[in-house]
Amino acid sequence: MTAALRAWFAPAPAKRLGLLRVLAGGFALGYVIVRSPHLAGFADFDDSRFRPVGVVGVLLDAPLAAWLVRALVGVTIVAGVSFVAGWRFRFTGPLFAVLLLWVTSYRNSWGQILHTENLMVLQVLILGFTASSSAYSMDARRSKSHSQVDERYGWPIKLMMLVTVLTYFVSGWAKVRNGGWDWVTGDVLRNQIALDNLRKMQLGDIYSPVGGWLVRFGWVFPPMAAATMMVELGAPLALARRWLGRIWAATAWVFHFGTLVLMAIGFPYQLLGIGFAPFFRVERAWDRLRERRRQTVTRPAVDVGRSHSHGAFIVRSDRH
Amino acid sequence: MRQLFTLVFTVVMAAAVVSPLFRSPPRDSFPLSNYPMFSGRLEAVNDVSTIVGRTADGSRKLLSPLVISGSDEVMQALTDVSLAVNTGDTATASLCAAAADRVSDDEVVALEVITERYDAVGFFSGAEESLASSVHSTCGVP
Repeated sequence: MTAALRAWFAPAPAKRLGLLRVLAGGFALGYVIVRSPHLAGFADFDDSRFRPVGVVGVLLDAPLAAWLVRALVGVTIVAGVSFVAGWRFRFTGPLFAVLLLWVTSYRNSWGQILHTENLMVLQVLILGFTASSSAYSMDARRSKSHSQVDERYGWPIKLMMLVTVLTYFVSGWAKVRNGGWDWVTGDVLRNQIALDNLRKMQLGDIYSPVGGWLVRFGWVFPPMAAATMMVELGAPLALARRWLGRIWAATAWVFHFGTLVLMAIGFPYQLLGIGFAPFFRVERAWDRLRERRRQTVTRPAVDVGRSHSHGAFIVRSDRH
Repeated sequence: MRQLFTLVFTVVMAAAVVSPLFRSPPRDSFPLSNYPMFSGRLEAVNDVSTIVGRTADGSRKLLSPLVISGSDEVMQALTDVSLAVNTGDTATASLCAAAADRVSDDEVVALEVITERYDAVGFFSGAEESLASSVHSTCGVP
């Protein structure tokens, strides 16, 4: 077995993958619930506007019946609850992952593709088809597999990292291919920020006054474009070392924050850090958080010592 | 056997994510995308198609994406109008009539499907007037 394969199959704690399931699944579930009027709203769209993409394009030539669109959104929410709870995950894990793929693909099949959902859907697909319910789940309570460390918990996390960096790399490579290196040296980024904000203004939507103000200064944009390219084309480096992965994740987060500030385009899955969570030992952060909470709860009796005057143990409370 | 499944799953997922790079001609999809919205060559001067409201005295009122397309997504509204403009007068008239049915502002008496040409960078530097404008369809608000 080569070193690469050994690294790929390196064991990881079940708790890490389990927490990623709760984080990504919880976000996806919340997303579907909050967006359910919007997701189900396409049931009323005229058939002529239907332009199927992805799996919807493979399976459908015409829109589904309105009741079925609404029912699928409802079933997705129910499956999502089971996904997050880790209940009967062997069935509900793949079910939610596939339903999430379906409802978001169907939503994107009406002429406008939203790219803020891509990474969420891809990561949930990985979690849904792997052993991510061995910790922090109802299934784990029954099987008592909570503290296991095994290779089957390691490679799904690495695959989530791989898929994450590849999405950024594809985005960067497409810029080079379509726009050439002019994308970095020219005014493309400046024009994009200006046009995006202008279009939003024309539709009475939220736009970025900061972005609108900044496009007056052309010299700002080539360095910003170069930094964007470094984040995107340099993304595969994040897989080389754990610390590089963390630095890249932080840099990519800054990139998304910049997109929010300059274009009023929010990538909530990334901005909340969930898309980059596979690059971190999330279970340790969670354990520290729980430990801190436990200490806070037991704080009234923390100063335990021997009383010199009485030669006996006393407990002194910090609170009065 | 388990490791073989793992490797196959890994290769399939990775290949799927990079596959948009090899689509010819380049074509966007979901969730496997080539992220075309930020990757094309884009000039500062561009056409913006939308639907605007007109009041009785002829002044303009901006409409929300929900009125324009029936969706609260701004990009969905822009796409719907652009597609209709590219399709022709029948499509813009149909879109105009559908939007008119969703207008709840009593001051708006008519809608126009328009395309305006702007210098987007110039717009934010004080030159807010459009460089050119054309009206594709007009319809009354019932």
